Amino acid sequence: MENREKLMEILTEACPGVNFEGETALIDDGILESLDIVAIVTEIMDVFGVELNVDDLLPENFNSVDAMLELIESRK
Amino acid sequence: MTAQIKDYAQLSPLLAGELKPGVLTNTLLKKEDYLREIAAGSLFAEKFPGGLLLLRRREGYQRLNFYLQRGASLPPLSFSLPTVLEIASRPRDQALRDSEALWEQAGFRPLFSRQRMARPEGLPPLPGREGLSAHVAAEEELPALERLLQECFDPLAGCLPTREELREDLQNGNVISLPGGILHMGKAPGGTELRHLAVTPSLRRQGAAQALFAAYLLHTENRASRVWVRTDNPPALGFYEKNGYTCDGWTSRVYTAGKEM
Repeated sequence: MENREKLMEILTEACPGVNFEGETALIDDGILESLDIVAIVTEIMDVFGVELNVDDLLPENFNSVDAMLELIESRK
Repeated sequence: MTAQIKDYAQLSPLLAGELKPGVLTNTLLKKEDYLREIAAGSLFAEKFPGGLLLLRRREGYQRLNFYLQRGASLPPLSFSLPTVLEIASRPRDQALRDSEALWEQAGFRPLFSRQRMARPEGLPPLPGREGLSAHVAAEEELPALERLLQECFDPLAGCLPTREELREDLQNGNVISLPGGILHMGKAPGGTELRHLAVTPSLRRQGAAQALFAAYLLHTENRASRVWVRTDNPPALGFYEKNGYTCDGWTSRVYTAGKEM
């Protein structure tokens, strides 16, 4: 499965009903909240086998699917 | 050994390596959150093999956040202050749910559970009882509303706002009131989260909560709403079910340890 598909599976499971592909301000617009972020970040680490750090937990890294994919790629 | 964190340079190496595959955590604070806690002198940490405990001091108690690597054991724990631990999870977060046994073995006592309930946008409101109406509260009501919250909610685990947070929420129109009743809200994805709804005991069963709720729907233009409800509170569960809320799958367990408050 492609990275984008894997990520979309994580996101839609965490927050059903959100149109992730069309959103570019998931954090800034309050579409994702802290519990969602906990679920998404821990799943990203588990599924992609990547390690993150606190400095990665910035809105700009989670505002869109592309930003999250970029973060994952940069940590591989 | 628990140590106060006095600057971010002291915290950074403790956090390094915790966010990796398999970690269990009940929170993810951002750097700015840590900086705020450090500036307030309220952040303490304890590193142990396989994890990190972070304690955020509040007035008379502290809240515990943790990073626990899968398979790790907790160290012997001893707290000088009442300590609250809340673990929120979905049914699929089995490893996190399983870790609850570790905390109980370490001396944490379950206080209660909450479940999250959601109400979709635009659901027609129930008709209210005539004669009672609530309004967006004014800042001048702060002392009375603060007293009412303290009277109705657990000081340790009731997620009560500080005076300054409540003042800010009053200024931002996030509080609805009527004499002896309060509804306190905050932002949530797609709408709002109903954080506290309370009516003084002598005014209960007279439609005050429904009047507060009707004013809340009007004020929020009937947008989507969420609420965390204690599962040991059947009247509250019934109230929210009657008003169109259903469980969305998130639950949380609240534990306490250390000295009694």
